[in-house]
Amino acid sequence: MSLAENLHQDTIRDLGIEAPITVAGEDRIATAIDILRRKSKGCALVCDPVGKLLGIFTERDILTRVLAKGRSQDDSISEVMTTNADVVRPTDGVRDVIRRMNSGGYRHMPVVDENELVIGIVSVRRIVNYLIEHFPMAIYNLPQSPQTGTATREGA
Amino acid sequence: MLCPDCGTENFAGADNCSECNSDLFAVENRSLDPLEERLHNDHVIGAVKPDPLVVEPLDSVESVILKMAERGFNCAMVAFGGVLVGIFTERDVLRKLTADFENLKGAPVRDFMTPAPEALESDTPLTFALNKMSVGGFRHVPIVNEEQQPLGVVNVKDLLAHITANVPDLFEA
Repeated sequence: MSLAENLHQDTIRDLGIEAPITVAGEDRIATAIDILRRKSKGCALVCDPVGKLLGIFTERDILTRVLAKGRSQDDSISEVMTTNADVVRPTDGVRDVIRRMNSGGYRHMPVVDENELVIGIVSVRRIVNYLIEHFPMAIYNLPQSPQTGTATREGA
Repeated sequence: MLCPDCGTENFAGADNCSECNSDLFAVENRSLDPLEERLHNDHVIGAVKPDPLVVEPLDSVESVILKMAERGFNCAMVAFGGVLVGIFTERDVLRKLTADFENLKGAPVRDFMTPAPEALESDTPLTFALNKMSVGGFRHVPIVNEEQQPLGVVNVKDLLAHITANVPDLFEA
C-alpha cells in the first residue's frame, strides 16, 4: 500500500510502542541521569507508584535545567521534569501524532492507555523510520558517500 | 545507481545491470510517491536551521553548554580555522560529562566532541541524510560547503518538520 493509504489508517500500536525508561518523582536527578546513560536513552518518564504519568525528563533538560543552572543532582527529578506532557494513545493515528509532534517540537511522546497508565514511548526517530520504510530503495540502496557513484563505465 | 536485485554499482543511466541484467530503466523511471520525490530532489541544506552554533576546539565545555542552552541548540559544530573538526551533542553531555561535571566543565570541548564527523555537502539529496540516520544510526549529520566549512546540522526532528512542511497534503486529515 502507498504511504498516503497507510498514513490514513495506521495507528501508534501498528508502529510498535517502545518500552519506556521510568523513574519515580522522588528519585534523585543523578539516578535518572545514570539510567539514561547506561541505557543510552534520551528520555525518561516520571510515574507515580500506580504507573500514571507525572512528567517527562529528557537529555535536553539535563543541559538546560541541571548543568546550565548549576543545579545539584541530589535534587529530586520532580523539580526539573516537564509536567502536563502531551500524551498519545495506542489507537491514535500516526498522521495525527506526526502533526502533534511537529507543532510541539517534541522528540518523544509518552503513550498511555485508557486508564492514563504509561505503556510506552514513541520517538520522532521511529516516525521517520516508519516513513522511509515505505521507500526502502530510495534510502537503503545508496552508495556510502554521495560522491562515490560510478559516473562512467570503466575504460570509457 | 545500485542494482536493487544484486547490489552491483552501475554507471548512471544504465538500462540494465552489468552483473545480473536486471531492468534498471524501469527502476529509474517508475513513478515516485510525492514524498519520495522530495527526498530525492531536495538538498540537505533546505532542512538545516540557519545561523548554526559554531565553537572553537579550545572553548570550555561549560561555555559551549551554556550557548547550547541559551540558543536552543542540541548540537554544536566545532571548527578550527573555519573548517569543521568535530561535533558536540547533548548525547556527548549525557555520556561523558554528567557524572563529574564540576571537575570537567573547564576542559576544552575538543576533549568531549566526536572528532572528524561524517559530513554531507549542502547540495546532497535528503535521501543521503536519511540513510546516515537510519542505516548509520547518526543522530546529527553536519552539513558543510566545498571548503568543509560548517553550514549547519540536520537532525531527525528538523527532517520531519521539513518533510511535513513540503508535502503537506500527505499529513492533512
